[in-house]
Amino acid sequence: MKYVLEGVPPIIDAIREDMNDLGLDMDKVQDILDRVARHRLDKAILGGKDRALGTKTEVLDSEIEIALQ
Amino acid sequence: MNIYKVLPDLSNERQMRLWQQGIRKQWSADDIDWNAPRRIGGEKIRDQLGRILTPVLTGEQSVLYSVSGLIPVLEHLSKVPAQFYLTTWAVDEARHTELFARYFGRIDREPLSIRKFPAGFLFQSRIISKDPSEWLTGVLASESMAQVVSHQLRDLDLDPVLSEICAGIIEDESRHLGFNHIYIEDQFKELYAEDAEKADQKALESG
Repeated sequence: MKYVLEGVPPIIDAIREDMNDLGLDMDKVQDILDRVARHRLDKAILGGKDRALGTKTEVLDSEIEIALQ
Repeated sequence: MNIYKVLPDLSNERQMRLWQQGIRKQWSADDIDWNAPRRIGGEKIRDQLGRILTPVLTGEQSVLYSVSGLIPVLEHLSKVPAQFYLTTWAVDEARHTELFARYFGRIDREPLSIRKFPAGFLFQSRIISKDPSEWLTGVLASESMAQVVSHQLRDLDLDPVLSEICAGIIEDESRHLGFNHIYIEDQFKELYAEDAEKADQKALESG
């Protein structure tokens, strides 16, 4: 993921002015890149580890950003 | 020669539920009211939208090609529910590609060329992989970004057609992120059950 994430800042830099002019929140986009994507990956890995080893912090479907009803 | 089970193993309930959702929630670019009055008339704002939407369009195309290539890979791995789901993911990306291609026509602009926007095209090449887990890890970053940009464009409501496109894409991306989570979790469950030390190493390499 690190390798992929490293490719994002040049994209943002190339269109930063346009994004700002149109009102897109650059801080939020950057936050997603720095934190949320990595957090989602960590959650998935930890969920698998918990299920395999019988530990407690299992990730519930309700925590995933999708309705799995 | 392809060898596969005559009766596929469909026991992965979570992936099967996502597959069913993926089928039920399909929609078409023709469902959009393309004749809705255009709210963005100025040359400058259309130029800006053209530049901003270039990485979005190339991203949709790139994922379409890579996800299509993974469908036979999952067949070889006998991961049939995941293979089922990826067929709907491919349809989603094909729809998104059509939507943005048609939207460029609506604003009478063309995407930036590779020469003018190399970063956007180089980024897509970083995600391509024939290993489903590796691909999903990479695509997690681009899907997360697509989701937040779609949210913002929908909420800005610059143009009714763009807002409608983004609203539909947000729902599709949620399913993709859901599958991403479930598949990676399942993979690491198997890895940790086999060899916890190797799994820890793989987890480190993934991040």
